[in-house]
Amino acid sequence: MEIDPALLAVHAPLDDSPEEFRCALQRLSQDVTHCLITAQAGRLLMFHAAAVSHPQTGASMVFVAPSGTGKTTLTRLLGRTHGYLTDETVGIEPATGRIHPYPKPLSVAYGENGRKFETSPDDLGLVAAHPVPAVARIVLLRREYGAPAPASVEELDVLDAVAALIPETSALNRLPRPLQSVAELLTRTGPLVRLSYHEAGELVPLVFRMFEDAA
Amino acid sequence: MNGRFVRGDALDALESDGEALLLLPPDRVVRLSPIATMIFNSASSAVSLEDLAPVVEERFGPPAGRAIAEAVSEIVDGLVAVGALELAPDV
Repeated sequence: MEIDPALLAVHAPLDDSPEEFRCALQRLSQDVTHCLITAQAGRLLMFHAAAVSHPQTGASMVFVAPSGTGKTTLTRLLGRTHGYLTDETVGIEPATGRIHPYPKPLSVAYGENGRKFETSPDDLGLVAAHPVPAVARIVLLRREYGAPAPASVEELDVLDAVAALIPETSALNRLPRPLQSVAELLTRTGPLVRLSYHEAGELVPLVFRMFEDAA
Repeated sequence: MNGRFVRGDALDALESDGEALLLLPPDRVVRLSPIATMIFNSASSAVSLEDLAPVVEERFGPPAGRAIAEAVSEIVDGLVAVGALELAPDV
């Protein structure tokens, strides 16, 4: 893979303050993500998503959602027992369903002001991913503040599913037959599941059941 | 809108149960109703409203309270507006 060196330029902190370093690390993480997406455009199906894998089988759950809807929180909960693949962008080979892991640092809020710090998955106790992870199921997360527990589960038909996933893709138009590629992925994995929830903890037992079903 | 129409430059189309999704440049998704899907499929080569109206009426029946030509024209206008169809060049 060739990457334009200019895209990998790292912006140095303006001074030695912890806040400058915190911001510089955030920018670096975002820049690396952007470079990877650019490099894989036209090769992988890329979703704005988190993913974890079964440690023995590599069967993987992909959680597609916009920013701020609980992907990182869910990843931290599931990643204690299932391999951490990413909390940001999931790249999938269209022909095989194989996932390219991107185990980046997670942006975790600390302290009263809720500032986010790039935090190593090792420091968070997350499990390493299976070496050959492949998509078992794609889940669309919809956070509804105040929604009663437990989370609701809904399977979408193929057109609703593809229409719902498209806004959460990157560089989809660079792939040949982009809509067909997403539809074929859903044929391989089963229908898209939409989970509507309030707290990420509600999703853990549902996801464990999905792993059991995929076994 | 008069004249003949052909499909626009959709990047991809996906059909299921008579409905369709189109991906239009650069990354806009449009969902078509069953009638719009039939019209889109009919426009693989240039078609006119006069070509389309009887075919649509035969498949879906007459519209309530207005002429089939008017109803088809409205749908074609909508498809042109989103870029799914475009005016065919004069030959």
